[in-house]
Amino acid sequence: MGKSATTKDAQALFHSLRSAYAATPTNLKIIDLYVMFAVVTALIQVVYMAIVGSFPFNSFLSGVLSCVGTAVLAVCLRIQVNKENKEFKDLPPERAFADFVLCNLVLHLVIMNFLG
Amino acid sequence: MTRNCVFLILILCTTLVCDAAIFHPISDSHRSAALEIFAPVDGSFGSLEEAYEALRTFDLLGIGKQLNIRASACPSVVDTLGSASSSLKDLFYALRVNMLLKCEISEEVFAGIASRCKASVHDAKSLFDFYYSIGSLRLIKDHASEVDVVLSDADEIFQAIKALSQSDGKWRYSSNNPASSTYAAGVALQTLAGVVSLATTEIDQSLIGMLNNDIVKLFDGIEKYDDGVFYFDEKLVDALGHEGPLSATSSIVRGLTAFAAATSGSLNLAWKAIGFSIPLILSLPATVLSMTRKDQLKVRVTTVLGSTAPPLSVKLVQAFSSGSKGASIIESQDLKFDAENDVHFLDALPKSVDLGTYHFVFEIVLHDSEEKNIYATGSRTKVPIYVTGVVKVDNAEIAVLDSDLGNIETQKKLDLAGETALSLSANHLQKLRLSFQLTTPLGHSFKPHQDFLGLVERFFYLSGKYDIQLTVGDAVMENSYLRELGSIELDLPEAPEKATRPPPQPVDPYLRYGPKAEITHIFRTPDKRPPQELSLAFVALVILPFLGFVVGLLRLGVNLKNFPTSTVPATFAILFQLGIAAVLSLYVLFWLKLDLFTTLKALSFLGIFLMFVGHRTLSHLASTSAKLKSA
Amino acid sequence: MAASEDAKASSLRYAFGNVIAFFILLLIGILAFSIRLFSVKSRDLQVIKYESVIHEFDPYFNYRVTQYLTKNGIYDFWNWFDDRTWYPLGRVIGGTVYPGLTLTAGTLWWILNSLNIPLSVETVCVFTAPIFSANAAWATYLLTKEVKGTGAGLTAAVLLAMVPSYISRSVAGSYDNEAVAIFALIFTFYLYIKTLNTGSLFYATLNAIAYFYMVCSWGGYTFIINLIPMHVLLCIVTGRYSSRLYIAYAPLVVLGTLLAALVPVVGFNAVMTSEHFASFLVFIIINVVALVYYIKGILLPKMFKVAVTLVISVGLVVCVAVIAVLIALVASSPTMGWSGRSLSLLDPTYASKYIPIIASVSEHQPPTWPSYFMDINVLAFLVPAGIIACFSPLSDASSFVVLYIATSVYFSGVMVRLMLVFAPAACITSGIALSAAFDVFTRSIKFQLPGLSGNSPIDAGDTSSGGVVAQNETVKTEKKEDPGKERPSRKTEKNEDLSKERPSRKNKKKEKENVEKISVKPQEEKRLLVLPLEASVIAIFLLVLLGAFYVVHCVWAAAEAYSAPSIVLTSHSHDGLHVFDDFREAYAWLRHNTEVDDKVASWWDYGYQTTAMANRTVIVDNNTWNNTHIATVGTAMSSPEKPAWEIFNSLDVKYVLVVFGGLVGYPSDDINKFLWMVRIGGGVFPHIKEPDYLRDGQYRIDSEATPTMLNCLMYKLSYYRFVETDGKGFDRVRQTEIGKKYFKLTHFEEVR
Repeated sequence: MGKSATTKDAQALFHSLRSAYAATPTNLKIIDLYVMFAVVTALIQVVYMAIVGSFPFNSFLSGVLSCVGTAVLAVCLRIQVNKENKEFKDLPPERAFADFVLCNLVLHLVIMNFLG
Repeated sequence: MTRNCVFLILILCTTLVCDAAIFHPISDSHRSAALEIFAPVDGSFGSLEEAYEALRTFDLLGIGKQLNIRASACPSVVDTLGSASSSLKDLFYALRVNMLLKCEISEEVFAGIASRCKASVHDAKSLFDFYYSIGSLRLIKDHASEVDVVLSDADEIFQAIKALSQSDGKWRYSSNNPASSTYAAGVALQTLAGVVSLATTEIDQSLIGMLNNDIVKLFDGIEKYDDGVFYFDEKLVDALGHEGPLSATSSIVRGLTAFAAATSGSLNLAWKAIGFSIPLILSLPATVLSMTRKDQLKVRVTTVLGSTAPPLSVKLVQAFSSGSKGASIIESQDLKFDAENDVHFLDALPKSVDLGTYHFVFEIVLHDSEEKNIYATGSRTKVPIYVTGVVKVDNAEIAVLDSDLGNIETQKKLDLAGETALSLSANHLQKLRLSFQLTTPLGHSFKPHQDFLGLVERFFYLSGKYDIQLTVGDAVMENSYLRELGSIELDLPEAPEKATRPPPQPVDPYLRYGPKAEITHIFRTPDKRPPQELSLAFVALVILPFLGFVVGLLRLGVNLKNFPTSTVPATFAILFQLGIAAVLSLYVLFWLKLDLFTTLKALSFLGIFLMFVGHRTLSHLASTSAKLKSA
Repeated sequence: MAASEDAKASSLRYAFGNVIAFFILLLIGILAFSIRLFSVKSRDLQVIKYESVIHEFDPYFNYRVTQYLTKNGIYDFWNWFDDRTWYPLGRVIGGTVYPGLTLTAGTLWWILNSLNIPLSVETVCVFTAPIFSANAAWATYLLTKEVKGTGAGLTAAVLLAMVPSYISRSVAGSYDNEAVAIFALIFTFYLYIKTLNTGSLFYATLNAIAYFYMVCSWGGYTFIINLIPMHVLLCIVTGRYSSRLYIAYAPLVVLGTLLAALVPVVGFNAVMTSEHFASFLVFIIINVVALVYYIKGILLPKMFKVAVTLVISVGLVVCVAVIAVLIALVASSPTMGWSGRSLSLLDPTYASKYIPIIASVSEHQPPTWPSYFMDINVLAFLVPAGIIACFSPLSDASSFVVLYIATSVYFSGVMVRLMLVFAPAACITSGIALSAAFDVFTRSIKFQLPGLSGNSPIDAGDTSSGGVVAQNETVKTEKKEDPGKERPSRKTEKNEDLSKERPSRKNKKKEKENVEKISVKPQEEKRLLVLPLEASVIAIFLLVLLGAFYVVHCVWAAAEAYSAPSIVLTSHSHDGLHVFDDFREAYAWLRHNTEVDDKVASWWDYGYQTTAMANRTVIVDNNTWNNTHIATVGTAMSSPEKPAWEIFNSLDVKYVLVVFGGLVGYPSDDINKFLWMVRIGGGVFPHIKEPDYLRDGQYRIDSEATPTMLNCLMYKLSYYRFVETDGKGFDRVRQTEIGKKYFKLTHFEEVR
């Protein structure tokens, strides 16, 4: 009984999640996709590290952190351009995007320096 | 106080002799050294001063006759004396050289120099001016007695020189130089002695008295070496260089003797009786006397510079073995004199003298008691004498014992005189005994200096075959020897843990300066790289999400609708994209080859451009979206 | 029409207020700079006190490094292997030094030289600390302004400009890491708060860069990387999570970690040691929390509840796994991943128990109560009030300040050196407290004085906080007149202008405030905070008095207590001031009389100075990275002459430098440090036993001293021929006659 209730709940949850997400604007979806891409890349690198070891540690670190950093910055961007977020009403999405570009450039400068 | 001074001066002269017991007089090595030091360059000396020093040294050592110095030195002497422009110092040394070489110089020249010196004495400022002038006058007086060198105003000159003296007995070099010097005191005393001897009338007694006080004070400053020798120290270091204690002391002694000699006739002071004592030196041609050759004990007495001593006799006061203190073998025995060889000798050693080291004590007795004032004989001279001889070796045998007490396992007689070739074997519980007896020619038993040692630990517990060598030796043994006895096979136990390790093999001394063993650097081993296929596979894997990203984008229906359509914003938008691409490619370049600073420089330019372009593009976008909203 | 006029007037007044604030800030900067110049400028009428000289020990090393940097360029500096120290090991300078200070001074020098201002490197180094304390004051203004407004900001900036604790580390000539690090610390906090308030990625980037500068400058950066996660966690736990918090924190961790790893001395430590793990943990947590909030946002409440029950069961398992992995990582690293200095922070007794070399440094000791009063003075009483002010109302920013002061109080209680971290926090809270107090008092005065109150009393807040600063400025300038002889009176005039302007400014402000603040200020607050007129006046008077007392104390501390360079000693006696320049004479002797390659052994305190001033190779120095090596020197110093000679000979040492103050009464000499030499030496070489040097548990050098003590090298070198000075051998530091007076050195000889 309990089990079936849980599965039902889970199904319902999944359903509502999907429907809620479907309402998301396209540009946010693009950002989500981008975040997913970065996270998956980071995960692949971690798996690789787990298999062969972390020998050029700085390379591993810069690879993973590059992905994580990109993902985090993209999440920040998503938060800022989300029209439903009341905190950032005043902030035009273009300004947010400019900040995002700047931040990414700085991040990758550091990554390049760290890469070795 | 003055009595004390006399005493001190005597000590000064004699202690030098006493303490260095076997002081060999001037030898050929001294002479050759002197010749080397004073070797004239191209037959002449650098200066007259050098020439004088060289000539005086050669004179004292009795050498240099063959060097024909006269030919080269005399012309320069004559030149110097003849020239009116030569300095006082040069004149002085020229005269001194002349005194030794007796060059041919006319009376007029001397007269001229004498008058010049007299004139310079009056307006002399520094001590050396006085010294050179007065010294020159004295030399002229000795050399050319006809020339008038007498100083009429000796008192004034005396006072002028005296004015340079200091309260502590030292003197200054000149009136405008406050530093005082011991060396200068000696120079001043010599000068004053010259003044006294050149004076027409007697010098005022009160002046002499004052000077006497100065000398007493000078002696207050006398110092003593650890070995008891007194000396005058020189504190002053100036342009003349540091005069060591030796030259300071000799300067003072010379000054004092000169002064004492000059005032001997007219004054009666206690310390002037010093005189100039010539130390006599007692030396032995050989301190090793062989009993087999029946050597005689010979003693030679000379002056310190090696010339013959006056008639005297040498007395052997005492002789005792160095081992037994006090028990003397010989007491008060006069040595015979061999006039032919100028040697005092002892006929034969007493019968009681056996092999060993002895100390002989000698005393010099002058025949003429008058000469005691001239020669310093010193007190007693103690000389170590080694009496050597052949030692006989008897009853040699070698044995391997089970314990200290007995149970001789192997025993072999040895003939130490001839060849032997032993071969023994033993283990660590056994003892090796090698015994032999040494006897002196007189039949006494002779004790070797070294005992046997417990050797096991010295062998560092290394078993194996060892060679045996026997060395018997002593300072008085004429037949010391090293002999191969043979070999012994040792069976030693395992080394206990505390035992010392064997020392490293002795290094060949020539190798010490050779190349050292090369130091090999240990580098960190490179970490293991993964197989290439795996890496490539993961590269492919990394591309997959990107493909997924692109596919996802397409499925979401991405478009470039928002891209500006009108030309100007479109250009800016394209430039913006290009700018970002440029920065990213710059990063790639940075990774590949550029250094941080060139990158930063390029980046700053690109960044400014990018900011401008980006601002234009994004503000355009913002305005269009705002328009959309308002519309 | 009226509205536009109003707006015009208000904008004008804003501009005017901004200009005044700007000038006040400028004056604060000048104040912060000039109060630190006591060490170089002439103070008494005739005596030029000290020339511009670098103080203490570490600054000499920093100076030497800067010289190297300016001479050889940055790449050589990065790869610099110094063979003049830690002989025979040497030291990789580029990889073991925090380069922030050096690079800062080097850049300053380079800029000045490219502008054709020919200043020597030494001058730049001497004045770096004062310049950066002015910067720090401005950063404090910015930070406090973000938290509580302009008035509080200005007050805090003034307080920080003068706080003795900070002066002690940043007088001219004190060329040490802390000089720039405090600025970096405050500025990083400011940017964090700014990002938190605006939620802008741009500020987040700047924040990461400021953090990078801090990492470059000082090992104290771990304070930041632990404090900020603590604050984030606090916010999350108290339900104050917002998207701004995410933007402020998440990029900082990623970028900051990467940037920190760029600094050679930190390197992989930025991800490997547990000082940094807290930030990663919080990073994970905030990501999870962000996801949760996002899902909560898009789901209906009912569905969300379902999701929570579902996720918690799964999530717990994941959390446990993650924590287990983390613990395993921590446990696998030595000392549990914590370095000794950090451990001694968490456990105050750790150092004295395990690491004598940390405990031996006086600035690592816990402070005493008087030192609190000495270093922060009246701020100590204002801090609680400031904390209370932070709670009304509590914002993200003010909660950060509260957290900052709470942690820094603890750390300063552990280690006297960290008083320096505490001082800015104290200044900020005190600034808030003072500002709030003046706010209340002046408002109640205005409320009860009808002539002044005009149309509305509500707006007095801003004015009064401006007034606080103005009054503080007055006090400050008055005070400044007595010490600074040549200080122009221009400043006072300016100040008078300022106070003249005040009334007019008030009036103008009153008009415009109507528009803005009515909605903000609740009506009841006004009623509550109005106090009787007399009480307000007296309270203001007392506060001004308190401020005056603070200023007097600070000036005294700056002039007397903290400006004496330890390398030049002074003593006042009945016949005037004596200057002992023995240290520099000794180093000059070494430089002129020894061979270039000679090795000099001394206790590590003098290592940096010897390499910098005498240019000779030393065995150990103030960078105490190799305990065994220091213990070797300690052992040699506490051994009898022969073994000591053997040790020194094996290290190629030709000269041994000991500092002895028994004749002139200089207390921090080697005999007083000797116990640490024994302790550190004995820690590694067990044949040195501390009880051998103690008689009845007492450390003494008089006739009761132990024979081991009397025969050790340090005693012999210190007291050799000491008895010849006064015939008795009376040590003026230990106040006793020495135990062994006549002896000869057998293996060493005195240099002349």
